[in-house]
Amino acid sequence: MSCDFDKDRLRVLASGSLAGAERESVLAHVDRCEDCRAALRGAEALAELAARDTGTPPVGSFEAVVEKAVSQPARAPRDNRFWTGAGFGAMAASLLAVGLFFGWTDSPVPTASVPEFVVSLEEPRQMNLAFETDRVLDGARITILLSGSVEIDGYGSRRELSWTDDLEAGVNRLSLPVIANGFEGGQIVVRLEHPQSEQVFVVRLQVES
Amino acid sequence: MTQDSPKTRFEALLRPHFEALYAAARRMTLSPDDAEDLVQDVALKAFEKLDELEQIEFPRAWLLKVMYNRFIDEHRSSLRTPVDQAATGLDSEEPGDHKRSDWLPEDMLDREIRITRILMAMKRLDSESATLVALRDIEGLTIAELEKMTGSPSGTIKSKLHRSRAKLGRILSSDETLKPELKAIGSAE
Repeated sequence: MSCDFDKDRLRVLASGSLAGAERESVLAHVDRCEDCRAALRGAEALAELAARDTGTPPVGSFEAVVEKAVSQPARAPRDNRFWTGAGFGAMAASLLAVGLFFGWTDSPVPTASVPEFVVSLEEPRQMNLAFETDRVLDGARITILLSGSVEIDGYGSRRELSWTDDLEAGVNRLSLPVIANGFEGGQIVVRLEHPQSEQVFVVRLQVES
Repeated sequence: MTQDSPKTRFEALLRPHFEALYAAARRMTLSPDDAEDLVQDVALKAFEKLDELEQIEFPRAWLLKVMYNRFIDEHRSSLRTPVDQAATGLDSEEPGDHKRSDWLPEDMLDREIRITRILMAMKRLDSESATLVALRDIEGLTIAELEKMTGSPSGTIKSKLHRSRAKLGRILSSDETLKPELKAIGSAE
């Protein structure tokens, strides 16, 4: 049940800033009002956190935090263009590789074969991969490693992209726009890591002649 | 148009708020290492949003909001408690004297245990409630700043703050609510 009491005074009381008659007035209300009594306990707990001795940041920590932040590859969010949603749908026929994670084993599952994908110097081509799990995998780490004369379109010369994501139960489709920047071809390694397991996909890239 | 590098711009954005961020992280964690991890998480997010952050009026509020959101949503399993909490039940609610020592007896609990209990209770709030009440009661943001940050009118914010404090208080008063997540797994320090 709500009351008309000025509830911000509970916060002020909890912070120790009320005294005298005003403090007594608030306490008298709290005695009668269960809701405000609970809120005062919450406010006292928050005041306890606010009063913690926090110290100062370690010397050099600012520079270290900045350096790590700016050197971290951009994290691709779940809804970015790489992910194309769950389910096979019309994409099924064009899938390059499908990782089956039924049971999500305790050891890496070797890739059965190394598929090939033909890339172009002229325009990016979508390389479609699918990962299937039998359950939701929260906090999976997805890492893309590139070698040779290939790029992920829009990411310039980056050789590694990595982000943490939640994999849905069922099929998770990853669509990578790959483009060549030379004739020698290359390789893409897609690694999925989860506290319980790891899976690696390798795709060999050939440049269209 | 600025010609500074992203790193220079990021340093300029983050530096004025770094100590506040670190302090907030220390308040919400049990070890300096956990605090540094939390600060790093926020910094990574901030760098991704650098262009947007440079345009907003209160970057400190944004940074702290991100920090508390991450604390609630992504560090739920990271809290460690130094002792089993089962024997440290809180008193039932009794009208009368409301000195803090009544519900957190100093002779039974050291400060770290009390803090642990509070942090665990915070994690029982939904992310929005926990963040809002933390920004107001811990970080000292004004109602006007919260209005600008959330886009909600002051009356709505005050109501949410009160409900969040009351819920937190009830969680702390409910020993059974806390027991399942508190296990003796060693000191965090």
